[in-house]
Amino acid sequence: MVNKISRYSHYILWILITFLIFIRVKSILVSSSNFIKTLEPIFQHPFATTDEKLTMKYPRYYPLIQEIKRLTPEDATIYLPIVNIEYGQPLWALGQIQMTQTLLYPRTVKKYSEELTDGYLVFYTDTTQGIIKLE
Amino acid sequence: MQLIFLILIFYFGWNLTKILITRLNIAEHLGLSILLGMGMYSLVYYILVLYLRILPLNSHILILLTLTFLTSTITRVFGFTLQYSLQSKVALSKLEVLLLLISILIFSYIALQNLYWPPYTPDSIHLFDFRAQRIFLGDIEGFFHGARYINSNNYPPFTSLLHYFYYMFGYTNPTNGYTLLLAAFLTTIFGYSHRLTQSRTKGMLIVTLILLTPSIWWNSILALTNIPLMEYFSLAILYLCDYKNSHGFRSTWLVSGILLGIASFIRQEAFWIPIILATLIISLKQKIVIQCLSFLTIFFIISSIWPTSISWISPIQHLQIETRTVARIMNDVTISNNLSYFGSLNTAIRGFWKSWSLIIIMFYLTILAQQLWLKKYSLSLIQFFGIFMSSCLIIGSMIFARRFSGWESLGDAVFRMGVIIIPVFWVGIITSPFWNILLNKGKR
Repeated sequence: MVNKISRYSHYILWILITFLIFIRVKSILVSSSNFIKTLEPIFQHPFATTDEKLTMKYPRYYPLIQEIKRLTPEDATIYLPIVNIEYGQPLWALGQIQMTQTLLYPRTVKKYSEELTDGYLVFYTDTTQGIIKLE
Repeated sequence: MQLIFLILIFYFGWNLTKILITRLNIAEHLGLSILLGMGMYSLVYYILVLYLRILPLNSHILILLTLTFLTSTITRVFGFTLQYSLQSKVALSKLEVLLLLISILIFSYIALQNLYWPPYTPDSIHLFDFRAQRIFLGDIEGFFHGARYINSNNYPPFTSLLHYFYYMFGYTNPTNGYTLLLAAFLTTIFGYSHRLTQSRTKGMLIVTLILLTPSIWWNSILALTNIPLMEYFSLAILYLCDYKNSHGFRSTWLVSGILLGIASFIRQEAFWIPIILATLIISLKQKIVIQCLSFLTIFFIISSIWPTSISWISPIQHLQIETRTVARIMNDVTISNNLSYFGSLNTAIRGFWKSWSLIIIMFYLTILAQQLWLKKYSLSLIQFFGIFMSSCLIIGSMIFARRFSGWESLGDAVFRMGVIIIPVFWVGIITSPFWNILLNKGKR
């Protein structure tokens, strides 16, 4: 039995390997569509600045961060709303408190809570976003 | 200035490799020069400037010149030379040209993406690039304490320092550093496979297959630690497998110890525990105690630098804490009911599938076929490490899935790290003697 398997097994393995390569090529082709899509911004805006590139990645979030930096002092406390935005939506990164904290450094970033003291509260709607000064 | 920095890094790595090892392929020497040069320079810079703070932040050229001078003096005084393995001077075959074209195409894509995009994923911004920007602005305190990391111990500074070196030498985009490391890694693995198999085609095939692995190329453009960790960690395993290539204290295990140490300077997760265990077993079996001691010593020294410097504990205390943590988790697992064993196994396999995909099936199929045909029931050391590490990662993930409720929902971030052993799988697949039999139409 073992000998029989051994005699024909290289045919079986060739078939298996061909099948695996086929699936592999298929997955590579699927990935290739993303491959091309990710090249578009590079050719459309080849000389974009770092801020412009990050705005392309985070269309509403990154301009908001820049605006907060422009409008608030470095020792300010920024309160972030508790967000539940689906990944990939323009403001989804607002839920990334640690990234926001490092982008706004040395400002202190906290999640919105009932006990708000002096600082700035970030708000957003479907179409707009901004900050309100708390007094 | 940028060019001087890179040349010095390269030259330092070039001399260091000559000191550590006796026989290599020229491609390996070129690749290792960058990997070892960058890794060891980061370590020395971290110790002297950020940890002990005995030198100012802008001491790059001073440190690099000293290191280069020291290594080149040692090389000359002791007469350390490298013997290159023979190179095939035959013109490239059609298959090799095809493999080269595919590799160049994918590598150019990665290089272009890294040239264009700054670090943009949340983790690369807040965990790694932030620290680089703090030291670039002269804020060492900000580097250590600027952001509250959930587990700061788990994020050693290698990639942050890489970003910083690029900023320091006038680049606006530090992600080019990842392209450089990837190029060095691919060159090294090509040279290694070429030397091991005596086949240039197999060497090129391994490089192409690594680049064709989707989880590798899309991880390569994220400016995260997974790919640098893969580069150092997988090479550490591969050089461990080449233990016969030694002369006195100069051995591949010394290189492996340094590479594994630098891997722990990229991520602190204890991936090294199974490697250490396997190393002890191999050294006892092969009676290579000196090599094993040099491997362990160099690894433990390098891997202790980060935890010791941030928590001010001794390496021994660090080891005790790690051991206690593992023991506690193992104890919890036996009484935990978060997931059934089957559920946690399912979680682990589904998770790693995202990184390993069909490669793991191909790897095990190759081994199975090899056993069926050769009937020797023997594994190469590389294949042994492939099986051992994949089992450890799956069993480890099962343990954590049972230990921590909701752990299975962590998903991608954890399993993305599975890429670290993909090169070992590919080398294990391609170097299998089974292919020679298959190519000879099944004749034994």
